[in-house]
Amino acid sequence: MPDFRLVGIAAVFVAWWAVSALNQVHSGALTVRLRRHIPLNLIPLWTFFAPNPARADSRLVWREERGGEWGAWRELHVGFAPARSRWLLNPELIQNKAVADLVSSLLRVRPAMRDRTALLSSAYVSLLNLVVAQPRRTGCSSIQFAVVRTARASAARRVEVAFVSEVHDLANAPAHVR
Amino acid sequence: MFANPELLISRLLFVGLVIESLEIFQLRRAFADDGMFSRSTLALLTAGTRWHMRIGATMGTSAAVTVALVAQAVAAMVVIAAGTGARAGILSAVICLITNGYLRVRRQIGGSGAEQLTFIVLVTFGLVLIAGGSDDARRLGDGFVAAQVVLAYFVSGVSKAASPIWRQGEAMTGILSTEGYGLPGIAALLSAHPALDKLLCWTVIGWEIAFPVVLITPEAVMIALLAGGVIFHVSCAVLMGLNRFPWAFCGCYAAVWSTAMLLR
Repeated sequence: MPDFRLVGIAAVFVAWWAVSALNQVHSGALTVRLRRHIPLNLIPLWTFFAPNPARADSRLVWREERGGEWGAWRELHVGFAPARSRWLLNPELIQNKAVADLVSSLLRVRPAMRDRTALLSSAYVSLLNLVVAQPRRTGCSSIQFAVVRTARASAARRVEVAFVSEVHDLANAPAHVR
Repeated sequence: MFANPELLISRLLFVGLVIESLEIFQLRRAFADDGMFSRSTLALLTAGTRWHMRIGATMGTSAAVTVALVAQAVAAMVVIAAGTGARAGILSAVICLITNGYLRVRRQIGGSGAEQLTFIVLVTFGLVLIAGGSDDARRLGDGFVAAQVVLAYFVSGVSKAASPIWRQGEAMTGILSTEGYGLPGIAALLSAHPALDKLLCWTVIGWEIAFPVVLITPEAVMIALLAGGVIFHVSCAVLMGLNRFPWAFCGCYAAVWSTAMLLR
């Protein structure tokens, strides 16, 4: 008499692995639909740093308009863990990766710089929410954010603007003034 | 790792969970109302997703997150001490499954492949328990974990081999030139010696693509491939700050080992 629990778990593992393997070769409609229904990212995509390895840091910057004049760009900077200790503890990686996740999600939905589709994306709204939540000076009337990619090439530093948001009115935004 | 719970290597994964708890404890303010992982930000992020994602992402303040991560750290330490064969270890592993699931869904973004593998292993253990937790069920669990690890390395290797950046040997210099994953000294060294970068890129590609044979090769080759994995992950931790990968992936090598032994 077979142990039905064992047969059941074996079937679950075979199906889970098969869907995982399918997700690697073809992230198409079927796997996208499955991923939507299966919670907690249980269908993995194992392509670490490939095919396009991270060769630049994504930085989120924003500026505020006050009295008709724009202030300087400021960065939502969470810092980087020191090289001597990050092999053990690296909490900064989680926050930097979170920003990078939102940025790559935003850039995926933006076919062209002038396309306004991106404004409706959850990544755009989330990034906007992040900068609006930052402390700001009193009397700010609007805000704008941008994504800047930076990389070191030999001794030089390369900076590239990857995305610039629209200007957003702050009239009804809750105040986190400083 | 489930079939041989007495092995210390079977508990490495739970060291990673303690480390995750310490890291999120340092970030606990980011889960407050004005933080990066605030409920309002995550409500916006998950607005168009399924109901379970939306509810999980907005459930609990930073205090709830703190409680979950403390529970996870304590439970993971019990597993490290007792193993997944003892009753206390089994119960603690289930607590890790619940807290880790909560922390994942509550954070949504900023996760890594190491975290994903860790959670897959915890869910696998939950299924093993549902199936009775017998030796056969544990061996099945080990087989599934081994299959996921083999898939992970193989796909990653093929994906790198398909990339001109990796094939031409420019990937390591590029990655190590970033501030997030980089080390300026090593990046400069590789930049000055492109052949070394190319050698490193092809070594990683070759090892990752070859990894599946670990399940069927003679023991000496298997040990060499697993040792290569340890060196690879420790190097990535030291050079790139990918600190969770050695605990997650090397922690699964016990499952790879026991599955390979079964296939002999």
